[in-house]
Amino acid sequence: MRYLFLSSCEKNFIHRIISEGHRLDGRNYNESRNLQISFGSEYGSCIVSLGETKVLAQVTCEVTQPKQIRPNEGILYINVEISPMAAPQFEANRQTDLTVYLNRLLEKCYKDSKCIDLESLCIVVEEKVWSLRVDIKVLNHAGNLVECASIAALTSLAHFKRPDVTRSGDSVIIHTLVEKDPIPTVLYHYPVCLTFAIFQNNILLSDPSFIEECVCASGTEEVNSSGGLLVVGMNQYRELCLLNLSGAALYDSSIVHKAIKSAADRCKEIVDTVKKTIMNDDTMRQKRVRINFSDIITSDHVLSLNKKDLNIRLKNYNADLPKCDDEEMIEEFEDEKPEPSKYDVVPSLPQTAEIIAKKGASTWIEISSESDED
Amino acid sequence: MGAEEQNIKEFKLKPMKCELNFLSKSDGSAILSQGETVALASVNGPLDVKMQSQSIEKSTLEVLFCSKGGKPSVGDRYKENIIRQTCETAILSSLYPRTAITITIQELEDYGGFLSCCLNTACLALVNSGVAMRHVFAAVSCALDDRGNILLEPTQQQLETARATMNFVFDSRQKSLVTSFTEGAFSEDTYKEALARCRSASDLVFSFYRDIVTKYSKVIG
Repeated sequence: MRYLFLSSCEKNFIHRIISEGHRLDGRNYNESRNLQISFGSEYGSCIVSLGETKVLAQVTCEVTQPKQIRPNEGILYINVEISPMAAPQFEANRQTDLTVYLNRLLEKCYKDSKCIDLESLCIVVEEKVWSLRVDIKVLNHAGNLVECASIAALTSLAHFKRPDVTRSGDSVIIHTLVEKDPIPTVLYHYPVCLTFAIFQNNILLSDPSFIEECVCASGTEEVNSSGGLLVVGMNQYRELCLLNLSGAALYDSSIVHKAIKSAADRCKEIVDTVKKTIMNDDTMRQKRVRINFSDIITSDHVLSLNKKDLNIRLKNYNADLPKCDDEEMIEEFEDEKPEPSKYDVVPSLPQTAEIIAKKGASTWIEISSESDED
Repeated sequence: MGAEEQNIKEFKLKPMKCELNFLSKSDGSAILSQGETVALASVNGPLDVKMQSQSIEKSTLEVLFCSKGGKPSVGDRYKENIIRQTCETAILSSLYPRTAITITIQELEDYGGFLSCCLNTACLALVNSGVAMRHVFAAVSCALDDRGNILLEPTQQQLETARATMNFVFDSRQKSLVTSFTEGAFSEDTYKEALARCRSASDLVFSFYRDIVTKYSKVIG
């Protein structure tokens, strides 16, 4: 792995703005990034994006021999891969600490919490069982991989359907999807891992971005009390499935309680979204709408740099839609411009703007400085 | 636009959809769908490289192909090899000595013509990353059915019954052949005819590239 270094300058800056109550992208401490789930054409394939972090998950199944100690249970196998696509510092076909860490956390969350009914995957005791393999590929690593990967794993498992099987005497027939309707996986509960970044041992940030993840565990000359990352695994019934702390030891246990409390609400929210999107997808499939990953390609969102929108919010600047009194100014600008622009600058998040291709005439928005403190 | 649509119908190329800058952490990335086949590519580079794979004359090109699920197979290595050899001819690697350029390709959907879709995606990602190139390249695939008809951009059902499949990659300057890989049995004349038809169909792919690049280069970052 090629290492990524952060300057003390950056670290100090992040520490300072966070202690002052701000985050780089303008979120509150317990605000998460936008969650998006899209499905592929096969059962059990999905791309989950949490802000800019993108993860692809695919569930496949095959018939294998069960383990000797558990002759009547199917097998669940989770495999995480981080390719150079995720970020330039990763190398191809190399297991890094991060890969092992992610794999172990997901195994704890989905295998050890016994959320999947493995006994229903049995075909013939001691001879044939279904083995489910969840392949998780990280497409873009922009922080909080654990949460994004766990949502992807959960969604793909819940979305997956295995082919139906009939037993007649000694022979076992596996039906194709056309012959018989496939069977969905049975999930007892839906656990999700959430990440919290702990800064200076008392500030709790939910859904940390890449830079916040890097900075939280390291102290600097200015700030010597360091924090760490806390992963909370919880299901929709507010039951705790997993806790993992990396980084410095905590000397205040109340922060864990605080994290669990806010995780409970967020988990419920995520599981509801996952269930709703799967329901929607199911009704679409029943109407024979062809669902494909090509649906995520949009042509109306054009960017020349590889940044979705300004990911740094400016505190003192506001993008406002044009008001009636600005009309004169707009005309003035349009006179100067021989060809009207095809792209609009529209305010998206509060205090951010992005460029979107539009067919209509261009509109101007005013970006004004509100305070003159300097 | 009308003439173009007619051409598409004539050549029966699948509708293409593309988005550049799909990934924020890579230097260049593209997601391309050709019909129902979808691939995602990211380009990083020039980066520093390990001593043993460093070349003092040119940059090393590393290509990684990731399938959607299951274990990596020999077929994946074969695809990597074809993509690497094709991209090596296109990239001006002598401009970046002692460095590496990595191309990572992720399979998203495979409904026929997957390898040519991968090559086109890789080309768009390279263009997006700003790596210096001699030329861009376009891949077109075709299949030979039982009656000996040449089908451009075959669907999956057509591929299953096809007698042979052929894939061609052309450069943008002289439309000369860069890469060709075939499977199955066919006569020399059929090969020549398929080559000629794919060559004229590659014009559509190049004009699609041009549309995409003009669309994206006009936007202010």
